[in-house]
Amino acid sequence: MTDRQDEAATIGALLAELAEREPLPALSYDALLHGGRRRRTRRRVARTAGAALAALAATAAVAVALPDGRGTGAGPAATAPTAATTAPAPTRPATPATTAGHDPLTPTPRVLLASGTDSKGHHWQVYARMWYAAGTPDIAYQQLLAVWRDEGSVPAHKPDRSYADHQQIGEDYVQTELWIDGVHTHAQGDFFEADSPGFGLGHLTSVPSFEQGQGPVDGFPNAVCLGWNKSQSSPAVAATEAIRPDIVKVTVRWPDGTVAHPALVTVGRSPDRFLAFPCRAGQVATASGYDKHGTELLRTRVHGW
Amino acid sequence: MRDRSPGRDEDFVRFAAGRRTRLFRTAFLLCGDRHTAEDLLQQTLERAYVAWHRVSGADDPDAYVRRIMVNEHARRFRRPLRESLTTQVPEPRDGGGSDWHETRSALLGALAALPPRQRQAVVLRYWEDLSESQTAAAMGCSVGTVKSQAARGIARLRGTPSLGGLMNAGGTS
Repeated sequence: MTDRQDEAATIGALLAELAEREPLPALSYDALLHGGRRRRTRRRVARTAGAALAALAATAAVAVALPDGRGTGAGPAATAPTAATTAPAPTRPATPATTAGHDPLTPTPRVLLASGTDSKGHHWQVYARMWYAAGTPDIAYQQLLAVWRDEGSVPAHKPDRSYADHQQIGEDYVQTELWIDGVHTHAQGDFFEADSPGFGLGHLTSVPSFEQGQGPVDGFPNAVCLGWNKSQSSPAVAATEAIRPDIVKVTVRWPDGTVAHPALVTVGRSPDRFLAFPCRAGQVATASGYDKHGTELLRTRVHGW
Repeated sequence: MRDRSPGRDEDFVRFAAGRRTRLFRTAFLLCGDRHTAEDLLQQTLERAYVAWHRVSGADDPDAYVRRIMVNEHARRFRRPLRESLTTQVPEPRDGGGSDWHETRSALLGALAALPPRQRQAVVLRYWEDLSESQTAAAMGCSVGTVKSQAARGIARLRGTPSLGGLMNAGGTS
């Protein structure tokens, strides 16, 4: 055995001992399945909701009470904040397929989920809008490219059509956006890099604090971090998508006892509602969702970055 | 909702049950603490569920899931201040002796000091015992990158004072 092989074997043995001495965690397969299902529905919400809900999306008003008092009340239902930052129009086939009269290549108007001002005076807004379900693989592929263009995340190579697999057909897509000082950050799909400047370069991703094993109390599966301040002196923004229809109220509690009640907003014809609220850097909040009887159905911890 | 058939779920649960031990241990070595590792395992398996039709149809489902885990770990690291590796390691739960506690602390501290790509390369090559090409597939990089990252990682581990003696002695047992 060479020295290098010997060294590799030693490293392997040390790592194995380290890993194998760590007690295995309990793993709830029910929670895993529920989490997986909700993750699937995070962006692809059921298409069966009544189309009448779409009208609500255009007029919904939201109110977000920020726990530190710096947040704003909700503005009116949103349109694109500035035309200059609107994403390029998607490529349209000659005869776009639609579902229930909706063009899958034309998203709904943006709906404001929440807004506020961070400690450095940057105004942030979280919007959502719906892309209606595509009915055919071709349209699904066109829609996928349009969404990626809008998110600024089209890969350099031409995406394979297999990306638009069956998951993109027949299901609506809810897109969440972060705007900073009136500019769409196009943050989704981009990673924060250590040398990137400032607020608004977050990656749309899950908050990893999924809690398990609490009986009927379940975790928010779809909390997403939309942005944060590199210096950590400003609150990150957390958004939670796809709050199930039987949740009528969400409460966010902070360690100092302050409480926020982010509004639940309808987006397009989604039966689920959507919300956003700001995190506090370095603090862990507890967010709970209640049904109309006041029974807690959802709970999670939300970390401020 | 598509693909919610009991058979699909049963297949997935069977798969997860068979892999959870190894996946958790890999997650633990990547993350350095059990709570973050549990989160990483949970997210990895949830993503595997979402892509189950691809995972189950892949030539090597384990490689597919490993790739998910490595991607998720990389994504977590890119969130500032979210990486939980620390040289201040928590007390072990297994009641090991003081010698092992010192070794464990030294190992976790040394791993924590590695940049994430080096850590991934070291863990996949020397704990998962993957080939260079398999490691490259999991990390989404070239074989050359795996070689350089693993070599640098090993060199840094070797240069860690508290680990140097262990490596020269051939481990703890």
